[in-house]
Amino acid sequence: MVIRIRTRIAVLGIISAAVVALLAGSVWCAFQRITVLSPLALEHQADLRLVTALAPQPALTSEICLLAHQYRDATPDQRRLLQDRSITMLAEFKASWDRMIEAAPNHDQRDQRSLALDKGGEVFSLVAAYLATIDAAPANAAPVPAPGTAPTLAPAASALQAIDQAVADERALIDQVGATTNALLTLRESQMRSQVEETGSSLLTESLICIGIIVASNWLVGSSIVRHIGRAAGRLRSGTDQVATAAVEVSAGAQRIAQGASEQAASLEQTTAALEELSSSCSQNAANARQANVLATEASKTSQSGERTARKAAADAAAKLKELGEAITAIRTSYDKTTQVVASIDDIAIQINLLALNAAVEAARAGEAGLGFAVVADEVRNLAARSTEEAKSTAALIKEARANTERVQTVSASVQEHLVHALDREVVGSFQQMVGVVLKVSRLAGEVANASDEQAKGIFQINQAVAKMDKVTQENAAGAEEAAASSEEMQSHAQELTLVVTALQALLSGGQSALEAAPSVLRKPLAVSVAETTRPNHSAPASPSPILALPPCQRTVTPSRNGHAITQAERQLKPSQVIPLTDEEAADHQGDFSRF
Amino acid sequence: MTIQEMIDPADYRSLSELVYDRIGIALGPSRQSMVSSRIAKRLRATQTTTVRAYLDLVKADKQGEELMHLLDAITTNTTSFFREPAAFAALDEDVRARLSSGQRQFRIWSAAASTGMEAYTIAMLLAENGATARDCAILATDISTRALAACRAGTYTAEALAPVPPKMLARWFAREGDGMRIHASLRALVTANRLNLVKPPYPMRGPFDAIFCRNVMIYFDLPVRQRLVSACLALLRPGGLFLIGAAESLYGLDHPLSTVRPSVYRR
Repeated sequence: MVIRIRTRIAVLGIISAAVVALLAGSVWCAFQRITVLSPLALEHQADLRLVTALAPQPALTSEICLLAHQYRDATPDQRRLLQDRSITMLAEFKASWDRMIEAAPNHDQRDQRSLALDKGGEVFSLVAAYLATIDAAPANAAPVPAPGTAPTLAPAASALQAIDQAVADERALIDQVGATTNALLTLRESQMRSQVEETGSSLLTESLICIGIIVASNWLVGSSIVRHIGRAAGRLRSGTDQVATAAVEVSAGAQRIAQGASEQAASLEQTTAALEELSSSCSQNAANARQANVLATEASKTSQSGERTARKAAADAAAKLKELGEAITAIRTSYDKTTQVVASIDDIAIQINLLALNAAVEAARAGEAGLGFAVVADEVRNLAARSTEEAKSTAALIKEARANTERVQTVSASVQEHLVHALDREVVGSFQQMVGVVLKVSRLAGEVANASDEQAKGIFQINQAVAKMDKVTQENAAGAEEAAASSEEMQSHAQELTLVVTALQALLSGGQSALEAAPSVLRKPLAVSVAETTRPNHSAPASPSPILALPPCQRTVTPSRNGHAITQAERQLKPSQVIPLTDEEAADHQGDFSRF
Repeated sequence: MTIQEMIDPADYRSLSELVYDRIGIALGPSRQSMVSSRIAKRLRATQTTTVRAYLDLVKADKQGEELMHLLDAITTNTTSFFREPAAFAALDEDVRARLSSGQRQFRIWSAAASTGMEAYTIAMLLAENGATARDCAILATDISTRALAACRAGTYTAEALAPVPPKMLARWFAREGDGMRIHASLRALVTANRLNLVKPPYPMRGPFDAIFCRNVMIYFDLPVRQRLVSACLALLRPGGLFLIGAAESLYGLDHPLSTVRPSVYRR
């Protein structure tokens, strides 16, 4: 339980009131002791002194009376002494009365005392007159009258009587003054007593009032302090709430940034991988292109040699064709000659036929003798006919052959022409074209190779840039991670602050201590515990404090042992059980620590 | 198909458990894309196609090489020269005081050194104060061997060196290749060793005059933090400085430190 500040201030008020009361009591006691210094007490003291001053008058009065009575019987020396004494006494008497008259508190008393002084003066005058009378009278002339004598006495005796009378009067007056003074003293004393009592009671009253004022002012001041602190706490609360909210926001933002940076880094990682692949394929391209270039160059060379070979072959062919043409011409010539021969043969055959016919006619004429001859002639005629026929068919054949030869010649010529043409235009052209194409291919392949090289260089540069980007992104990601971790820390601080403010507010308004009611957020593991993220069957999270509106419990707290929270993971499962670690892996500290 | 999609939840779990057990870093579900992008390189390098296969490979590698690569990939190495300058101002003040009181030996530990920018910033600070004439040594530790290699090389890009004051840059760096390399005399001050902060006890004897343990606790949960801080403080000399990251606090931890300024504590 926490005692409210109001209560504390009230207690403070009570304590201070008690102290004031104690002080007042002791002041009262002290006052009791020091009343002698009050004005009233001083007056009382003066009155007492007056009473003391009044003491010599009755004695003086009695003494002067006695002196008057003794005077007549005294020796002259004694009389002189008594005379002196009477003068001294008078002075003393007057002085004493003067003091009293001077100190008289009022007119009545002054008058009373003046009256007493006057009466006293009268006594002294009577005594002085009596003494003078005694001194004038002869010795023993005036004997002391016998007691109880008649009123007609000697003048000395009557003077003594008058003195006694005056002394008695004076004594009465002095008694009156004494009674008045005593009454005054009694009055003063009672006044003083009542004043002390009044003072005491007023002191008590004032003390009580003071106590009341103290309590009230404490209460008011306390209330105003409480109100001010309360207001401040309220503002603090809204501030810390805002900070807490902001911290959550910042934390979330930092998390997002961290995640973004990480994702970016991952993308870059993939980009790097893709680029590396691209780079290698580009290099492959360049290599292939270079190979193509080489092959094309070779092809170009082959084509060029092919052209030459083709030219040579064409020339050879042309020469051969020319030879062929010549041969064909020769064939034609021989055909012509053969035709002539065949024509001759035909003529001859015709003539033979005619001759055979003639022979047959002759044979017939010769009869029997000519019969065989006729047969021969007939046979010759048949042969001639066959020869003519043969010649004719030979002529036809020759004609055909000649026509064919002519065609061959024509074809040969055209072939030659074509060959030359082809050689010039087509074969050589083709070869040249081919060479041109191959050269182009070669050049293109070279260009491809160069471009691929350039590309590879470009990709290398891109790779470098990406690597740098990767580095920067990794750094950013790391920075963002750290920022995220820091802001998480900040968030817990803000929560802690909120807790403290809540406690302060509770302190101001009374009731349960928030600090006791809600355990510190920092008393639990700060970072998200492995347990929470990895525990497959994690139980319901510890319920958040009712006072602290913690964000939906991201953190699991487990009962602590020796003040150390134990994560579920620690209790349930050691990662080394999941992945056994060797001695080498356990080497957590490496290096030379001898200087430290 | 993106890499994220390739991670089977069970595989991610195994991976997270492994990482938590080895280096205490808790990988929540939100870290999946980060993990994916970071291990993608390893998958490519090892020619494996799935995380399962990769984990099998890690398991099969008895030398622990691949595990180290994996942890290298998972750890976040963010650092810079003169990061959060107030910390270095505090150290500067402390070093001056110790120098004027005649201290002969200085031992400073950069517990999560990453690529060594913090360690070399400390080295420059010691050198600028003339402390290097005495016995000075800076221990730079990290879990990532890749980061430590960069630390040993001591070569940094112009961008990384932007926070270094021009005078110091001219005095302590020389152009080398594309970047600038820190002077050999300062490199000699720094010993870069692999150290797993979540696996105390540490092999050092101590005591250190100052321990920089900055921006590393944010990756750990409270029990790991407590273990780490207790182990560090056991190596810190009384009166020595313990420096944490600007976003960090020692709230909720048992420690005997007093605050010098935010993020700077004294034992």
